[in-house]
Amino acid sequence: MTTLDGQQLFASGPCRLTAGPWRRATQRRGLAGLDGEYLLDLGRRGREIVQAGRLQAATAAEVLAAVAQIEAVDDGGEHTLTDTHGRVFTRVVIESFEPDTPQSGRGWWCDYTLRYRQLP
Amino acid sequence: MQRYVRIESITFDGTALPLPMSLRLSRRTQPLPATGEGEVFATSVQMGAATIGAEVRLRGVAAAEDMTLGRCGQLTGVISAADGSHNRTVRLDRAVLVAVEHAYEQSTTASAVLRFVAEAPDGSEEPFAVEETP
Repeated sequence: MTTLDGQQLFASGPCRLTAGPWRRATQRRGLAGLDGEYLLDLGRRGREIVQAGRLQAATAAEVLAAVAQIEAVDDGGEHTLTDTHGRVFTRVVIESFEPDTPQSGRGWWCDYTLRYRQLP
Repeated sequence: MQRYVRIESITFDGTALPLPMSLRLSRRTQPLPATGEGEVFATSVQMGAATIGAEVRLRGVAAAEDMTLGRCGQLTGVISAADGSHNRTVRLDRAVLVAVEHAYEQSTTASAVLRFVAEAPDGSEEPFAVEETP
């Protein structure tokens, strides 16, 4: 079960996490008349983690309440994300949360995409 | 189980469709499965919007040749029961003509197939209705 700070915000439906690669920042300097260049390593800058999933509930109001719960933790602060396999992603910041509009099918549901930035 | 043996009439947008051979109605939805991490099978199957469709087969192609795709109107079919006890009227209030097919086969009458998809103006009212009349 994927949790954020131990909260089960995503328990109503399935979700998948995709962790992108760590990025490093660099500066390059070239000098006239010299082959090659200086490469200055500025260190790790973070990586993107994408969570795609589905929220489900009996009513549209309950789906919107689940959306609001996730929006409430979108505070710009650092959080701890734990996936189904127990992988822990510390220092993650929510960069965007994009829920679809609630739709009715078997009950109510909406798909969503959450994008995190994990800080080094 | 009631048997229906005769299509009395089929009309579309006030025009009688001559020599009907069959009337098929369908109700479909698109399954939208989702799977979580490490799961082999879908753990959520939701449904897209339902589509109600109709297919009318006609003997002869003349009537179908005059049909314009996108035309919208009420599609009504009256079918009589085998025991003559009652007629069944099926109706799609806003049927949109989405396909017309003509078929010419060796040594038999040409035939046409008209396909319709019903629309519900407010998205929730059932566009399909059926009633039985004695």
